[in-house]
Amino acid sequence: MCHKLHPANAMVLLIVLISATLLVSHPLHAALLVLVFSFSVAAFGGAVELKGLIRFWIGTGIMIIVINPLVSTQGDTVLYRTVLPIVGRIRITVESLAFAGLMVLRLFSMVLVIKLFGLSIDRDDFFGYLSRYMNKLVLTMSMTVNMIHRLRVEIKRVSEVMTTRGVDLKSGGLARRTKAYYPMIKVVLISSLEGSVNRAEALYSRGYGNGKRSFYREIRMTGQDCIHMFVLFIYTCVLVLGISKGWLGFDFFPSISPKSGFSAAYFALHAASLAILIEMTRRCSAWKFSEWKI
Amino acid sequence: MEVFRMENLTYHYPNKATPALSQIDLKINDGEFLVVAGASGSGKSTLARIISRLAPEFYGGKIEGEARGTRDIGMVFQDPEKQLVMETVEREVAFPLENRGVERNLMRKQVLEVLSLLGIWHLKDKKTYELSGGEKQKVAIAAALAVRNRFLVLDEPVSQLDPMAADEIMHLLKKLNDDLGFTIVLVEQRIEKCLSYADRVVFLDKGKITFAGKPDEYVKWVGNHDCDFLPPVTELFWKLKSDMYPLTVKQGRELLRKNYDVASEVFETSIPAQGSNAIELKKVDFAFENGTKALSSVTLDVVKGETLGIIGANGAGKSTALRIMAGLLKPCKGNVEEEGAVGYLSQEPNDYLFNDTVYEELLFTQKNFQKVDSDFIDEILGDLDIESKRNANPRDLSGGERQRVALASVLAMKPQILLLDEPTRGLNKGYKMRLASYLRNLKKKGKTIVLVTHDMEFVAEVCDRSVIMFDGEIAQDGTTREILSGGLHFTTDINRMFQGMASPLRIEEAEGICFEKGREEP
Repeated sequence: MCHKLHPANAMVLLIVLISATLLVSHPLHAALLVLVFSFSVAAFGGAVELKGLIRFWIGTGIMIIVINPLVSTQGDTVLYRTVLPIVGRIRITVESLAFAGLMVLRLFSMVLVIKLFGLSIDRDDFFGYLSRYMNKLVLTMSMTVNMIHRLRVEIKRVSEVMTTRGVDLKSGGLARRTKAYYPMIKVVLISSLEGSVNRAEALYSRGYGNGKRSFYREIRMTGQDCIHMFVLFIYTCVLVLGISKGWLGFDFFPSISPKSGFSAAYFALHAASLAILIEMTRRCSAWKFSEWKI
Repeated sequence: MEVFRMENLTYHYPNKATPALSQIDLKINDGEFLVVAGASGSGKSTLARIISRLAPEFYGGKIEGEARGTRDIGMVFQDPEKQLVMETVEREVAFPLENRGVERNLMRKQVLEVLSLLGIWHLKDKKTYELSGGEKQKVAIAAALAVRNRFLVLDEPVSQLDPMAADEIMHLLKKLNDDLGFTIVLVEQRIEKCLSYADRVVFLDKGKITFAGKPDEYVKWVGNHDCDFLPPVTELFWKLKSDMYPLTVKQGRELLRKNYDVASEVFETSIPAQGSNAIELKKVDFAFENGTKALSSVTLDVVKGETLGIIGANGAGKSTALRIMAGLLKPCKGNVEEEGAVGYLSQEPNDYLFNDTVYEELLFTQKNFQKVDSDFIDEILGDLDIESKRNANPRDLSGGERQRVALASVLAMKPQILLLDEPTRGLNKGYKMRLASYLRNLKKKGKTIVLVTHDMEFVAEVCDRSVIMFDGEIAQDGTTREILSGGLHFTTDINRMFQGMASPLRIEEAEGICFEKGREEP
């Protein structure tokens, strides 16, 4: 029998890791999260997807690093200052560049956490488990997930079709490209919405939401899941400790400075607890616990 | 025993002034195999939705008259991609049982039973997205049957499948009907696939039932009205003014042997086109990002002014070859050269439709190529019989109409090379013949046409030359007659019926070589 992480554990894990991503602003700790999550995705069997995610990250990261300093003019350490027609005053600071760097790390962490979540759950179990408590939410989630998945596939297909219909998606300035992309985006959105309606129709025709559901597979919280939850609790405590002591915090404006001094011991503790949590999740997801004779 | 009845039923979709169905009186009996036929946009799918209660319960809208009967009805949709909900096959089949709150042990028994019944036990642990189209449809049927529905409504379940997968699904439905007494309502445009299985046929036209009766009565009725809705084998005997009308190739062959002499005529083979090449593929290899090899050392020349058909099973690499010709994919190895503007029609007509009217859709293509020509747009709309939809929103049209609008939006650019991927999907025979005639006219004007299709009748109708692809390679290249004559699977129903006697591919050819026994050949 295939076993994956218990849906409740997976939900808590998702919340904790996303919170960590959003709350950690110390660049070293943020980099640690990215590093551990990247290795985890690869270890969970997502090495191929990881390559694609890195490509996406680099592209988006460059965009953030270029745009953020133009928009955010805060910070004491000015690197470059000028006035441009229309755009106005430009003031590029070390602080805004550093903050953009943190944003890039956070973005990638977030993407990796979601990927990790996807790899560690059995989607059918997760869908069934959630539908016990929130039928309508699950229906909406199912349609949304389906729509996101379809968007990716359809963007590629429709861009091919638009290219053969004479739409130039690759050349020209921003305004021209936006105009060129408009029909493609319109087709993709309409098709995705239609696809979601089809899915809702399929769900309805199979009697979804008509009454009390039963469950094909019993989803029980096992000993392994309890241990995983405990490790998750420990990691949450480590996070709370770091935040309360200021070890995870970092001030970017008006000038770059850690909230409190860098604690190498805490860094080691954070790294160790995160690594144990991820390894525990991997073992739970891959049904390796049986080797441990618990 | 009656299981469903509609009386004087009229149905309007929300915000629509014209009814989708009008004054429908229909009775469905237990264990009946009912085929619902009709042109694209005639209301077939709406009828299926009314029977399965999706309309008005899911779609809303206004219903007048009465629809009563069992609610235990399983519905199978046209697109296998869009109807599967869960990730694994076993859970997909269990899903409707879970929704009904069936107890776990009973649920397990019913799931395993239905998987065995449909012969898909081996797929149990597979991911639904890993399945082929035919397998997906079988899983959808299994899910509909798992809840012990004895009444299945299927809306063109084989329209997106290759002929082999389509035959498998049809045999399965026949088995469910014959052996287990299931009631089947099958909405189908390709009448040749299912007429022989039907106990009764209902024909819809503009939302009204214009015929309801047994298949032999249907043949006589439709023969007098519109032969486009007859299977090719039946149509041949209708045209021969036979007293009997076979519904299958086997019945046709028996009737042929019994009542007709067949002249051993050698049919004209199209002369290979001469001249320079419009498209050249030289030792082309292609693999997708995930490493799946799609083409292997494909070498293919398409001469200017030629119409080439590419046939083969699903996954043989046909569409990939076409996309490479269109310049949409770059080969991993080898060279591709084209001479002239290329127009490309993909398998999914919805990818073309985003403007507010059909006219604007065509105008969009012309504007992109700076070739605005309103008269030409009107000409195409007329040729493809969609002039009445000129100001309609393309997204409001039926599947077949959308297909024609997508094709029209490609033709609007006046391409020199036309690449068509499954251009007849969703079209009934009448429209197919119009399209064939249109393509022949384009050929006369010197256009080069390459089409990928599962429709052997269409290949026989329009292609000078054909290639069969298997496993990413070209297995055979020759004139269409060489390729299709004597083929076991990749051939027309007419050719299959005459095997061992003659080798006509089309009805017109067969008509000319059949003479009633006792009569002299003219």
